[in-house]
Amino acid sequence: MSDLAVYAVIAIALAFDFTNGFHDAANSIATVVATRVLTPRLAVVWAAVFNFIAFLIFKTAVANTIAKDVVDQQVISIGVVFAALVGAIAWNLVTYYLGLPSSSSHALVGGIVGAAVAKAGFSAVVANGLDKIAVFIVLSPLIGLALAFIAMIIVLRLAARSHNVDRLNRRFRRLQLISAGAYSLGHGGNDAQKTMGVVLALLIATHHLPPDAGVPIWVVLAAHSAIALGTLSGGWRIVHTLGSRITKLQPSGGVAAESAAAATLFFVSARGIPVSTTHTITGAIVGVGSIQRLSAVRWGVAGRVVWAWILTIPGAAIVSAAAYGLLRVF
Amino acid sequence: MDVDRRAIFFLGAGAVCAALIPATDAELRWVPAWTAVIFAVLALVSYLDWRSNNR
Repeated sequence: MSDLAVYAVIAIALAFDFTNGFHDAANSIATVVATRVLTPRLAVVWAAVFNFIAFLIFKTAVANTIAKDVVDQQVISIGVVFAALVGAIAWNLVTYYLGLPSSSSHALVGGIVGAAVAKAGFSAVVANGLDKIAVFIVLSPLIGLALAFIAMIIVLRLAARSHNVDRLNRRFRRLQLISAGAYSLGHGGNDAQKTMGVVLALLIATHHLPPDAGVPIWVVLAAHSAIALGTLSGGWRIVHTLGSRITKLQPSGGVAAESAAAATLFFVSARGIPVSTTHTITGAIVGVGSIQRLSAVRWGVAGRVVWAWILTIPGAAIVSAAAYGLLRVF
Repeated sequence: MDVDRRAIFFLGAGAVCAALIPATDAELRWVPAWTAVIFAVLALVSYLDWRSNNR
C-alpha cells in the first residue's frame, strides 16, 4: 500500500477531528457568550487556545487505548481504519440530520469495532478495553451530574451568605473564563487523543512505527491543531447553544457545570478512558438544572442523549462494517 | 402522588452506578461504587430538603 494512501487516511482522521472541534465548540463557550463575558469570536479563540495547549497537560493514555485496547492490533489495516472513519463520519452526518445528540467519540469506537469485526469476526474485539469504554459512556455523564449538583449546593451557600449579590454575580462572570478554559482543556485532551489513537493504529498497521510505539509528536500537534482550528471556524456560528437547550444557565450555573465536566474529563483522560465530552457536559448541565427542580430540565433533550448512548456504537459499527464490505468488493 | 421526584431520580442514578460495579475493571471499581454512594447521599439530602419545604 502506498504512502499516499496512508497520508490520505490520516487527512480524513484529521478532518474528523476538525469537525469535532467545529461541532463541540458551543459546549465550552455557551455560557460565556450567553452572559456576554466574551463576544462569540473571542470566546471561540479562548476555547481553541485551550483545545490546543491541552497536549502540554495530558499524556497520550487515551490515544493508546483507542490504538491498542479496542480491537486486536493484528487486525488493523489501512482498510479497517478507512472504513472506521467512513462509518463514524456517516453516522455523525445521519444523526446530525435527525437531530440526535450523537457522540463523535462513540461513533469512532463503533466504527473501529464494526470494521474490525467485518474483517476478522468478533474475536477481533478486545473485550476488556471495550467494557471499560462502555461503562464510562454511562458513568461520565452521571459523574458530571453529581459533581455539578454538589458545586451548585456550594454556590447557593455562597449566595446565601453574600450581602452583595451583584458583586457575587460579577465574580462568577469572571470565573466562567477559568471554567470554560478548563473544560476546553479537557475537551482537547480527550477528543484530540481519539484521532491520535486512530493515526497511531494506522502507522503501526502500515509498519511506519513498531507495535509498542508511542504517539509521535507530529501526530500530537496535528490532532490538537485540527480540533483547535475546528473550534475556531465553527463555534461563532452556533446561536442555539447546549446551555439554553437543556436548561437556562446563569453565570454561577455555567461555572458549576463547566468545572464539574472539566474535573470529570481530567480524571478519565488521566486514566486513558475515551468518553463523550458532549455527554459529560450534558450530564453536568442536568445536575445544575435539577438544583431547582427536575422540571427545570428539558428531559426531551436529555432523553435523546440516552438514545444516542444506546444507538451510536452499534449504529456506527454497522455502517463501518458495510463500508469495509464495500471496500473489499472494489 | 406527592413525592420528591428528584430524590427518586438520584436513587435511580445511584442504582445504575451500582449495577455498573461488576462490569468495571477491578482497579476502577471504586469509581462507580463511590458515585453510587454520592447519589445515595444526594437522594437523602434532596428528600430532607423536600420534606422541610413541605412541612
